[in-house]
Amino acid sequence: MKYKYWFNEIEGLGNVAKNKLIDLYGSAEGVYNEFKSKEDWSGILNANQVENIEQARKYNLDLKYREFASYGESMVTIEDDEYPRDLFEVYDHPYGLYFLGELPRASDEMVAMVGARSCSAYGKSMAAEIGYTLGENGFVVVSGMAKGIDSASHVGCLDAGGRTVAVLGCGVDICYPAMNKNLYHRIIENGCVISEYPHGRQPLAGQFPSRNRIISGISKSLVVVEARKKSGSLITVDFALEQGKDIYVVPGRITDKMSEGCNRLINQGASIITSSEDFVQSLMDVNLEHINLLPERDNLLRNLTPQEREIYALVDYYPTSLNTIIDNSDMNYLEVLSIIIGLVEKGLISEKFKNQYVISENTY
Amino acid sequence: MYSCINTAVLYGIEALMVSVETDISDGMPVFDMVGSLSSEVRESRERVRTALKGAGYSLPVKRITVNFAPGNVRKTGTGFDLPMAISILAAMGVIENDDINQMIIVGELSLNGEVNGVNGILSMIITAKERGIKVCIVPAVNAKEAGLVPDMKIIPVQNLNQAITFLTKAQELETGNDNLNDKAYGDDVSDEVREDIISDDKYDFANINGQKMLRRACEVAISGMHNILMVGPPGAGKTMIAKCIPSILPDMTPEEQIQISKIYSACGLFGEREGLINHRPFRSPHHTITPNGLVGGGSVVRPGEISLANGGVLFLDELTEFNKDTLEILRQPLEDKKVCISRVSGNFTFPADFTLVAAMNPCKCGYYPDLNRCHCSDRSLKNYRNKLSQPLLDRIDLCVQAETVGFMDLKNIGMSESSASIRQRVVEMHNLQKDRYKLEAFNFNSQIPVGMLEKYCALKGAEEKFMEKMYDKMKLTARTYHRILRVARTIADMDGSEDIQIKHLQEALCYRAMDQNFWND
Repeated sequence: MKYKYWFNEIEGLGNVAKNKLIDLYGSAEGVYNEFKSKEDWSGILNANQVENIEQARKYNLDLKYREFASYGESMVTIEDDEYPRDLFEVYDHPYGLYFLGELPRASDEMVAMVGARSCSAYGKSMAAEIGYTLGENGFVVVSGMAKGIDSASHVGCLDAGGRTVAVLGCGVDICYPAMNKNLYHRIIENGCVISEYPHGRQPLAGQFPSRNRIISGISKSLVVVEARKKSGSLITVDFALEQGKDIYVVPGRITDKMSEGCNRLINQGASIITSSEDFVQSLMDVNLEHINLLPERDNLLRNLTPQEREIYALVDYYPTSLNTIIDNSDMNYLEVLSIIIGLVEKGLISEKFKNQYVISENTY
Repeated sequence: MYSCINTAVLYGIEALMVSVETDISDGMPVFDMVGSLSSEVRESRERVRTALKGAGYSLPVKRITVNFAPGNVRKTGTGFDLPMAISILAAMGVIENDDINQMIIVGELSLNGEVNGVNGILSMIITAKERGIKVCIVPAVNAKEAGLVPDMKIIPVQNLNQAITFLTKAQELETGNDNLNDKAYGDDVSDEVREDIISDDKYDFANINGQKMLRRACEVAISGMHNILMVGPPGAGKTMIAKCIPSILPDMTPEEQIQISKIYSACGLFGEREGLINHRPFRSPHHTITPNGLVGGGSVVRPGEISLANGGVLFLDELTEFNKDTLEILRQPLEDKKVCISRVSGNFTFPADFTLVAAMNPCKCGYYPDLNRCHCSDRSLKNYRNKLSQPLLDRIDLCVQAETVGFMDLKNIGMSESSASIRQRVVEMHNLQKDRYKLEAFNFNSQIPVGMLEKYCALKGAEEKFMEKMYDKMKLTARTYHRILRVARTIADMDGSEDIQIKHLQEALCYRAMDQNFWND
């Protein structure tokens, strides 16, 4: 293990070069013991890299490894059986991955979910609902633990009692964004957070696109929820296409800029998700019955007065201002206010911003 | 010879009596001035010397000593020139007038002997009146302002010679202001001036269409003198609405009129009006204002914008563009309704009983949470949110969203309820509150202390249960809860209801204060 850690931590050596060295020597231990700088490395390593390896061989392996062991992190490399098989399809797959928690088993079917960080209540609800349905049916949801869609997907899956994997763009000891602290610990308990970056590595902008290739790489298929025209999620889609994964997209309204990227993907031939059950069914080839995830909510909706129903119909997944609601209803101004607060009290709608209301997000 | 003349110095917004004593005696020919003088008072020596020469009097070749008593008060301002000149002339024996001790003389001299105006005349005359003084010699430009104090004989002078003539011959000057005193507190004049302000149709609620919520919130705010914050995208008419607010403010009482007039006079903003300031002030400082400019201060301590807005409205447009430190200073005056300023020159307490009206955009680009239009990053939203502290937001009772007006609303300009009829209701509400709180130390619902909420904003069983539920649901805090109760009290009053009902609480909850969580997901 100490050789693997040593090999993974050699500076200035890319994933491709590392993988080639392993092909040649068979293992990290082999590299450590048998590496000869005198040989002709042209085509595989340049002079600097050879020098780096020579330098690295002088380190005290045991000391370095003890330090790593004290972090409490685990590591998996391409030499191990637990290494996600699907990742081998990725051209520059990382030699080693650090993780906290429990790696998914080879039999687990993984579905990646990506989307915008600043998302609407609609996107959040859809991500949570799809995550929930996937988790409930034994799929492992893979995402990036970012704000917005990523978090909602993880949360949905965890709420269903499913297992989920978060691929980070920083060291696994760092929770980024920090507001997801709770989620981070939940994920470690019911799945794992993994990263190719070493302990203590800060979240740097350049590291995020490359973690996206892992998100798509370890998954069988990719779900996109709310992506703008130039969204970072589309980078993941490109990786997934390169890797030959299936792309599924949650459509948005054509006027909605937040789903512009999604709608374009559909236009380009991505599969459309019409409901979370249909989607999961298509992955499993069995019939799923529609499960009512929030029976209480339906009860509440059934028992609304006609006036309340009229106002509720005016509220959307996108923030609607109180002024608009007042203008669009025939009711008296004060009546509307009192109905709105009544609906907030019932938990059917929530105040997204000052006097702007959306249908409550915690719907599955 | 010795002489003594009364004058006054402005100290904050109040005036203190000062006597100018002159002694001319044999000795080395020097002109000495003593009595804790600031540099502008020291400079008056040269102005007085030249002005006296121009009037035909040269200073005697003797030892001249001028003392300003009391010696422990720092003398600032330029109003000492005229009293000093008169005092010297009296000491020279040019002026011999037995009534001179019953007069107060104020004015700045220019080199050619003309008398220029000074700030704070109103406070000085009021102080003089309290000391039993009957005659005031004031600069002609300040005559109208001075004439507002009843039972005072005002002698406006344009130059030094007129003052000398009056004092030597005790001759009535052609003042042209004989009827000034009749107008003091005069209702006729008040109405005319008020008409000027109110009939400014540009800013009438009749011209605001749509915006039902904003209109209603403004009425609630002014009825209970609650602070209000408007949040909305650019072009939603926040500033326009704010400018309409003065048109629904009720009249000021005579005491309030004197107070605000004194503040304006002290700041040199009184101008050439015919009567006391009788409309409630509306101050709208630019967001580059400094802390001293907002609350008052300076080496010669002057009231700031919050005192100039006393009894009226302080409008802070683009609240988030203000310097954060400047805004945080507002916290204490918002609670205490006055501000204490401590400087080396003394401690000053200025009234600051204003209603805060503020407007802001929801984010830097102005369109949050409409993600189709808002492209602010998380960091930018966070920075924007951090410009306002929760303690400050919590002090603003009402917060409403303003929205861009649709075309149909634009078309029907002038069809809405006019300011005059809203104002009528506001006046009724104010009277009701004054009557209810006549035994208390406060006047309005917004000022009910926490300890008295039980008495004036008691909730019945169902209402209390409702609030208990909403307290958790809306994540209220103790302070926001109390604010909601006060606003609900005002809404209940407007509804003519003795008890606060659930519908009143519901409306108050709609207007509840801005919450920093609104910017989080």
